[in-house]
Amino acid sequence: MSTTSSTTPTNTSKNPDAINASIGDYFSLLKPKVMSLVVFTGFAGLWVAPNAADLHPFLAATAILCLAVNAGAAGAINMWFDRDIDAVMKRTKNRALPLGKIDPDEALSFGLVLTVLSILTMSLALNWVAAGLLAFANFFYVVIYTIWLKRSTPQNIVIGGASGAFPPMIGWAAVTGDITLASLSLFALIFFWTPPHFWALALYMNDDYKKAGVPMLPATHGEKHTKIHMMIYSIIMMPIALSPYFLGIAGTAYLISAGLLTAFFIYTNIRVLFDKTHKSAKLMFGYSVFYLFAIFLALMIDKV
Amino acid sequence: MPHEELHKTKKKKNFTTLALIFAWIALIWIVTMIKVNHAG
Repeated sequence: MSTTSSTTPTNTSKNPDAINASIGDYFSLLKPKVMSLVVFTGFAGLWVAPNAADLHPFLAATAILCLAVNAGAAGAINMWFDRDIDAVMKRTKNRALPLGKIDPDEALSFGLVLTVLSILTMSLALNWVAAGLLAFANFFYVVIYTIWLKRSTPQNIVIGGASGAFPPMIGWAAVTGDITLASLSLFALIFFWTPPHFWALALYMNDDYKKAGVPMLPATHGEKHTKIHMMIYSIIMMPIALSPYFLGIAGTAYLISAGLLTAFFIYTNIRVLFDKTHKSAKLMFGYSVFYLFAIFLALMIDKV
Repeated sequence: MPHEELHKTKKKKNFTTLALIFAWIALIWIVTMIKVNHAG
C-alpha cells in the first residue's frame, strides 16, 4: 500500500479524512455485494467440475479466496478510475473515494497489490490456467470495461460484462486445469444475463447515468430500443440456461428449475416491455439477482 | 502533523497490513505442505 501521498502535507491538508480511513472503508472498496456473486458463481463452477471431490478442501478454499480478492481488487481499481463520475451519481456518491475517506493513490495501490497477490497465489496453489483466467478477467474488467468501454459506447456492459462471467470458468479450471464446452456454457449464462440485468437498472437510473455522462443504452437509443434488446438477450438465455443438462453436467432437476426460472425471467422482461413506468424494471432488476443465485444453486444441488 | 501523532494514526492500519502479510505467508506455507504431501 502506498503511503507517500497520504503523508504529504499537501494531501493531508487537502483531504484530512483520508489519513483516518478505517478498515471498513478499505473493505468497501472491494465491492462486497459484487464479490458475493463472484464467490457464489465461482464456487458453483468448482463444485460441478468433474472430480471436484479430489481437490483438497484447503486448496478449494484458497481458489475461492483468490477469486474473491481478485474481484475486490478489480472493484477497487474501478472505483479509483471512476471516482469523478461516482461523485455525481446518486447511487455511488457515498462511496469511500468520492467522500474523500481514502486517498486515490492508496486505493489504486491497494487494488494493484491485491491483484498481483491473488493471481500469484492462484498459480501457486492451483494451476496456471485458473491463474491466467483470473488475470484475464481482471484485465477485462479494469482495462476493457472500466477504462475503455464504459464511457465510450452504449454496448459497454455487453462486452464488458464478460469479465463478470469468468468466475464459474475459473472455479472449474481450478479443479480441472482445463477450459471445456461445459465451463463455457456457465460463462455464457452470465454473459447473456448481464445486459438485461444492467439495462433494467439503467432504465430507472437513467437520469443518474446521463448526469455522469455514461452512455447507457436507454440514454443513447431510448427506452423502447433498450427494452427490445433486453428481450432478445432474455430469449437467448433460455437455450443457454438449459445447456448444462444437454452437456451432461446437470440432471433433470436442474433442467426443470432452469426452465421455470428462465421462463419467469422472460415474463418479467415482457412486463418491462409494456410498462410505461419504471416499476417493472425495478422488479426485474431484483429478480435478475435472485435468478442468478437460484440457477447456480439448482446446478449445485443437482450435483449432490 | 507531528511525526509521533502520524504513527499513532496509522498504527491500526500498519498492524492490519502486517497481520495480512503473515496470513499470506501462512497460506503459502500450508499450500506448499499440501502440494508436497500429495506429490509423494
